[in-house]
Amino acid sequence: MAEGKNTMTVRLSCRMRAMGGATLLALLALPALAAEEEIVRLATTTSTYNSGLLDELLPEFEADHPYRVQVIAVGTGKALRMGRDGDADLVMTHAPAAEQAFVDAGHGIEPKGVMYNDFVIVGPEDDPAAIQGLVGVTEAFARIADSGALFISRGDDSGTHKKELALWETTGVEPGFDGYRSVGQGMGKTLQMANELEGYTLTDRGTWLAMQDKLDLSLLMQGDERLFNPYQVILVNPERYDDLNAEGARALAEWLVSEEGQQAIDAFRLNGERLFHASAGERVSPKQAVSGNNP
Amino acid sequence: MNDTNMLEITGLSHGFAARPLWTIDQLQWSGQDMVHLRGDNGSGKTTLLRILAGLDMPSQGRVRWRLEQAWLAPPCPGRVIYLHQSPYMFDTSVFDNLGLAARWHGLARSDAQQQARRMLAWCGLEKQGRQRARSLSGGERLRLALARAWLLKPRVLLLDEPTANLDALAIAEVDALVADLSRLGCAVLLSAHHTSLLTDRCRRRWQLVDGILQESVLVASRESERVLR
Amino acid sequence: MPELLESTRMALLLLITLDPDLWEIIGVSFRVSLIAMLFAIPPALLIALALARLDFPGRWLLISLANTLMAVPTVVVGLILFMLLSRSGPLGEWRLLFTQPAMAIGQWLLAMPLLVAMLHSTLQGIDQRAWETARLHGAGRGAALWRLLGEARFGVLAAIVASFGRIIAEVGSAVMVGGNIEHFTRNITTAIALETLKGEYAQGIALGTVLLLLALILNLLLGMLRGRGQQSLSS
Repeated sequence: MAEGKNTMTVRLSCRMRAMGGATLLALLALPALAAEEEIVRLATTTSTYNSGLLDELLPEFEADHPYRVQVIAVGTGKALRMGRDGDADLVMTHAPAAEQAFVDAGHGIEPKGVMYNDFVIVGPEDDPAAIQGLVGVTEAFARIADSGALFISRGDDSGTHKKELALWETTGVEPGFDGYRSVGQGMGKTLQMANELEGYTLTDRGTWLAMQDKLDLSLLMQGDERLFNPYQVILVNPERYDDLNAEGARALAEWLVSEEGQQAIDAFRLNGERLFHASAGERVSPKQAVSGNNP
Repeated sequence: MNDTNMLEITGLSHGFAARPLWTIDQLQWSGQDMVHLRGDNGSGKTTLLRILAGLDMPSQGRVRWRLEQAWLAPPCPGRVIYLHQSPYMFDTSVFDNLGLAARWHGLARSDAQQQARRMLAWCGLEKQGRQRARSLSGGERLRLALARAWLLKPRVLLLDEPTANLDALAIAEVDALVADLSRLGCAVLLSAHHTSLLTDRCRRRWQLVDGILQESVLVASRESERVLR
Repeated sequence: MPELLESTRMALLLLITLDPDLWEIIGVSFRVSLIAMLFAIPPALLIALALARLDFPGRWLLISLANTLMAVPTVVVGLILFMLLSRSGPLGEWRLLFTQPAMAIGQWLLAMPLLVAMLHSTLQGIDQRAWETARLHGAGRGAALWRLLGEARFGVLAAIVASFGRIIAEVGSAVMVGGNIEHFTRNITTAIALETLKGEYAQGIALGTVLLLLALILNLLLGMLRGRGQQSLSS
C-alpha cells in the first residue's frame, strides 16, 4: 500500500517536472522564434509613449500589417544607443543634432520627420523668478538661475535634456548653479519632483498636458521658436546587424508618415487637447510651429 | 520558629495540585550540617533546589531564609547561590567570569580585579586565567563556578549534581574546595544521585521518595534514620 | 562583447583613479545607510529584548508583524513614505521629500523589522542559565540584560551586518523618496538603476563592483560571525 502510494507520488512529480520543463522550453523558445518573424522593436522617448499616443497609433498599424510592435520607452540618448547596439529595429526621437550624428555615423538610415510639438517652461504658481510673460527663453533661463529658485533637470540624456543643455549654453549659464538639481529621471517623475520641490523645469507640452491635473505647477513660458520640438523616425542600419527586422521597421516608418498615420497623429487628443502635429514631408518653420500651439 | 534555623519550609509542594511532584509539610535546616539531597531521577531534586534559590515559584507553600537577622523569601542574590548541574560559563575569559561577578557585587574596578585574582588562585586556575571559560573541562568549570560564587561570600550554596560526569580526581579537587567553603561558614546543600567523597562529607541527608522528603542524620558510619513525615 | 570589455575597463579606471563623482555617490550610500542603522539599532535592540525576555499581551502579534514587515517590498515602503512626506501629505510641512534624511527614514523603516526579527531570534537563543546565573550573582536587571547582549554579541553583530547589507543595496525606497538628485541624493543603487538609461555603462559597472565587493565582505563577515555565534551558543 505504502509502496504503491510512493510510486504514484514519484510518477506524479515526474510528470509535473516534465510539464514544467515543457513550459520553460516554450517560454525560452517563444521570443526567439517570434523575434525573427513578427516583432518590430521600436525604441522611443517617454513623451510619445506616456502620453498615450502610441497606444492609439500602434493598434491601427498592427491591424493592417503582419507585425507586432514592442515599444521600449527610454530617453533619446538611450534609444539611439539601443539603435547603435542593434537592440532595436527603429527609433523615434526628438533631438535633431544627436539624430544627425546617428545617421552620419552610419548607425541609422532613412530619417523622416513625423511630427512636432514644443517645449514649455513650467514652475511654481507664485513664480519667484518672475518669468511669466517673457518672450525670450534665454531671458527666462537667466532669471531662474539668478533667482535662487530650484531648477529640476531631467539629467538623463534625453531629447528634452539635450534641448535644456543647449538652451543653458545659449543663455551663457553653466548648469550646476546653486538651485540646479539633476535627477536622471523621466519627464513624468521630473515634473512630479518639480512639483514637490516647488522648482522650475523644461518639459515637452505633451507630458505637461497629460500630467498638469495632478500638479500644482503653472505653465509660465512658451512660444519662443527655440522651443520647437520635432520628432523623427530612423531605421537602424540593417547592414550592421543581420537579425534586425528591417522590413517590419520600414513598414512601420512608412505607415507613420502615410496619410493614414498622419491623420491618426493629428486626431490624437489627450483631455481634449491636441498634443502632436503631423508634419511628414513638410518644412515646418519653428516660429510658426511654436506659435501654432499658442492660442 | 526556632531562631537557630537558617531555612524554614512550610506546606511546600510543587507540580499539579491533584498529583504534586513532592510535598514538604515542615522542614528546618540550621545550615550547620552539610546536606545531601538524594532521590531517583525525576524525583524533583532540581526543582526543589531551584525553588529554594527563588528561580522557580512553588505551587503552594512558603520558603524563607534567615540571613543577617532577617527572614527573607528567595531569591536572595549574592547570599543564596544556586549552581546549575553544568554551571553556566559566560562567554569571556576565565578571569573575566570572576571579574563580572565582582563588579555585580559592587566592587570598584581595581578591587574587582584583585578579588578575581585571589579567587583564581583559590580555585587553582591561575594558569588558565586568560583562556576562554568555555574551553575548560567539566571539573575546571565547576571549580571556576565555585570560585565565582564564593567571591560574593554567600551564606548558602545550592549545588545541583556537582559530581555528575566528573572523574575521581576532579571530584577530589572539587571536594577540597567545598570543604574549605564549609569550614569558612558557608552552608552547603548538594544533590547527588551517587555517593562520592563529596556526599560522604554530608552530615545530613534529605531523601525524596514517592513525593515525600525523609530526613536522616548521618553520624560517622552509623546511620540513624528518622522519617520526618 | 568588446563593448562590455571596454565598459569594464573604464569602470575599473574610474574606481582606481578615485573619480570624485563616483566616490561622491558611494559616500551618499554609506552616509545614508549608516545613519539609518545608527537610529535603528537602539530601538530594535530594546524591542527585541522585550520580545525575548518579557511575556506581555500582543507579544506574538509583534513578532509576526516584524516577520511580515520583513517581506514588504522596498518600493511599497518608498510609496508610503512618499505619500506621507509629499507636499500634499500629512508630513509635507517637514519638507523632507527628496533629501538624504528622507532616504534614511525609508531605510530605517526597512531595517527595523529585519533587525527586530533577527535580534529577537538570537536573543531568544541565549541560554536561560545565563540570566539566572547573572541575577543570582547580584547583577541588577540592567546589568544582566547587558550581559545577555554580551553573550549574544556575534548574533547581534550578524543581525546588524545583514540589515546594513539589505538597506545599502535597496533601490525602491531610495529612488522614490530620494529622487536620484545629483550631488544630493544620488546613491549607488539609484545611479545604477537610472544612470544606465543614459547609456553610460562604465559608471554603472563601477558602482556595481563596489556593491558586489561590499556584499562579499559583508557575507564573509556574516559567515565568520555565524560560526562564532554557533560556537558560543553550543558550549
